[in-house]
Amino acid sequence: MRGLATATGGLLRSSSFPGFAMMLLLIGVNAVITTGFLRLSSLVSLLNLITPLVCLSMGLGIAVLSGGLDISIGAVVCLVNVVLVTLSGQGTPLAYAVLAAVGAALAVGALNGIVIGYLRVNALLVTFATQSVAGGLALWIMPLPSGQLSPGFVEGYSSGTFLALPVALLVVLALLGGWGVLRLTPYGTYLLAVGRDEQKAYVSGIDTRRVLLVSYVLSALCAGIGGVTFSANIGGGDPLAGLSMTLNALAAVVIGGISLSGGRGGVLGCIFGAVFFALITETVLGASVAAFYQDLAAALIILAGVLGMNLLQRATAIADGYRT
Amino acid sequence: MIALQCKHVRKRFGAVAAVDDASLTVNAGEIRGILGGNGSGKSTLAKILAGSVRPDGGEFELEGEAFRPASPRDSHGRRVIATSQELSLFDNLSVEDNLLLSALPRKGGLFVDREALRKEAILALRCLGIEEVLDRKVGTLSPDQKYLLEAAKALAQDPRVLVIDEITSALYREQTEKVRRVLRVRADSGCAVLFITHRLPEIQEICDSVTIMRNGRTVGTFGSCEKNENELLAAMSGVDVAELVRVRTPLSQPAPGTRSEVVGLSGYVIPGFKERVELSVSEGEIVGVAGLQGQGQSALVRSLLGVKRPARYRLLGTDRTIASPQDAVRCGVAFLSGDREQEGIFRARSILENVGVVAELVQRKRVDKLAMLGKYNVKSDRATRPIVTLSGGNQQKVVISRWISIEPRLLLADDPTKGIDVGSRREIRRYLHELARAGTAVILVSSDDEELVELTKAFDPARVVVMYDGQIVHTLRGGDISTENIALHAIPRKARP
Repeated sequence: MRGLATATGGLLRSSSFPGFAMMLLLIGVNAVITTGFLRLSSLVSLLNLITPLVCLSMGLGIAVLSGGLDISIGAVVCLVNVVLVTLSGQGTPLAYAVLAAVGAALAVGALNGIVIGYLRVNALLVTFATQSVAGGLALWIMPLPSGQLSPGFVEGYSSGTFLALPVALLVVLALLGGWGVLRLTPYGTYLLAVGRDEQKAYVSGIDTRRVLLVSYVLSALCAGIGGVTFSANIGGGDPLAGLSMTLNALAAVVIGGISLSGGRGGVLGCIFGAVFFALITETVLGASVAAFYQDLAAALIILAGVLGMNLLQRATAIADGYRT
Repeated sequence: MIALQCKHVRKRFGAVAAVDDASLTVNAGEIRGILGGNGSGKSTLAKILAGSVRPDGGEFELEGEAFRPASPRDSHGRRVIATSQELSLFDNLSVEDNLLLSALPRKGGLFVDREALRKEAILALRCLGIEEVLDRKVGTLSPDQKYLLEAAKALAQDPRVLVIDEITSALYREQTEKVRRVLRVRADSGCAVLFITHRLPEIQEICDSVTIMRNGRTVGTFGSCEKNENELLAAMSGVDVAELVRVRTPLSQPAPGTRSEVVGLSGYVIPGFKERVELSVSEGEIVGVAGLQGQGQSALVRSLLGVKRPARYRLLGTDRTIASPQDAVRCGVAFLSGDREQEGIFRARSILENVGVVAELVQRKRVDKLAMLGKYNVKSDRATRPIVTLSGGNQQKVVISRWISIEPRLLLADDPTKGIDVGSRREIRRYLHELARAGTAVILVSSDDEELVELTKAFDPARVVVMYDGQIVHTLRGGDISTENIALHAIPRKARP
């Protein structure tokens, strides 16, 4: 009994809890107002749709935990998309095309990490610059939306299963598993230390430069994987379509309970935040809001969500003895 | 055997020589006190040894081998470990993670070995008697627990040379005693300890010998019993012993006429406590607030300032609701905190801006900031430099001049001399006396009983109130004010045999 109570207390105090609660709330609302929301097929197609954002926010979550920010991820999605579509259009085997596309993402991440970690330039400025670099490369490779991905790839993502689980779910679970493994390594502890106070971490003998490098590479890796799933969703090449995802992912990270000042929160919360974020569109459509006001309504829900998250988190943070 | 030898160590920050020419030799098994005023370079020397500040010159030898502390990792690798006055702990991590952060035990080469981590952490905590903090996040610990943890963290790294930088100022007497015993055990097993402090009694209690620093130079090394306190103070400040004794003699104060009340608390409940507080403080009066740690002293001054939630009490004869610190400042309340980093200085701002900030931004009046700096004896080569280039004591003097420039009616102070050397302490005490003589009411919380006694004993009208569990349990006046009496009344009656 006490074990259960402690577990419940731990859950309530967890930084991801507010995001989890709001996600559940929105799922509940949709189950009532959106017809056929709980049907398996619509759940799977919803899952396929939101997986790119989930991937991006998990990666961004790591960058934010390290005390920084990565606003290049939307442009990374664009770059991954055009590399993947262009290469597979030229007849490159799909596996190689995917590897090359994710490799391009990793290159951007490594550039971010080296400049931020080793040359000590502000993360916002660096990733702002690399956003333009990656976005520019994408436009150079593919100036206009064009090309098509093989139907096998698109089908395989949208309706393929493994052990009865949809591919998109497997992608998210794999990333979550990777995060779980990371948390068990010293890096997991170092990440939170560097995020809280880089100077102290350095003085404590932590190689802060490497921790930052790894964080931005991981952020880009997640964005790369997100870019591949995004490409499967849109089925073709578009050098600009991914750009808007950066700020959506940032909202998801905040709703997921990761402190923008770094060092507090966990990547699990990003999943809840991203699902919450993606469900808003569904909710607004389901509530048959007039087309003119859809964006406004969605934005107001996000604002309410961020506010609610903040209030809930402040309550739990005070219980934890943190200054707010 | 010589454990550590430093020769002619130098370090400049801009135009200020923090360490000018420091040389010292410490043997294995020796506990060496380092005594010096603020800005004398003792903390900088500690940081140089820890590898977090790179020296401009000088030679170092560890057990006869050359040693070049170029980064914290170098020093860790050679097992030269320093605690930090600012604490090197992460409040978002667990106690165990903090203890062994730089050397997390691994299994399979990749993962943290949680079991081994826990075992090592228990051992490290046990030697300082704080096993109860295991599994907690550091953010939830009290200040004294944090300082003990900082010491435990350094000890857990099995140092050959251990530098302890001012951790005892936040500790209770019995905790200091525990630290003393642990350091002695470590020294006996061959560790060399550098113990930086400004508490003179600790030199004799804890150290075998003492090196005195003044203006960035090491000016002498003595056996810890060779010199008495006045002689040590004289060596530290460069003042003649006879002069020092004269300054330390309290001056008697002329009796004041009738005074009007500045603060009146009746039935006031400190947030987080249940009991009621009755307190009235008049113009020109100094009230010291004593007690065991966490009995509501800090919460009292913070709540009077309106931190976190509005406070309602009688201020300058009228019942007011102080909605926020801004409100309090507008009513003439000043707040001097010992937590300079969080509540005192604006790190990134210049010395001048730090002086003027309250008067100019909140009260919208001009002050002659340079004159204030001169009046309060702030030592700096240029007032437009960032405030962080100053030593801790000089930073605190900047904060004092900031608050005095608003001509406060009430000064709330919480451990204002924490981590500050004896010389600057005396100056700050004098400024507080001057302020009270000019008519300001002063409420001063301190964890250092001697400090409270020194401040209130030589001043009239002054008293010390002792708090326990959010209420005032005793008031001491005049000749009754002594550390013994404070200690006697700070401990609740029912706990006494």
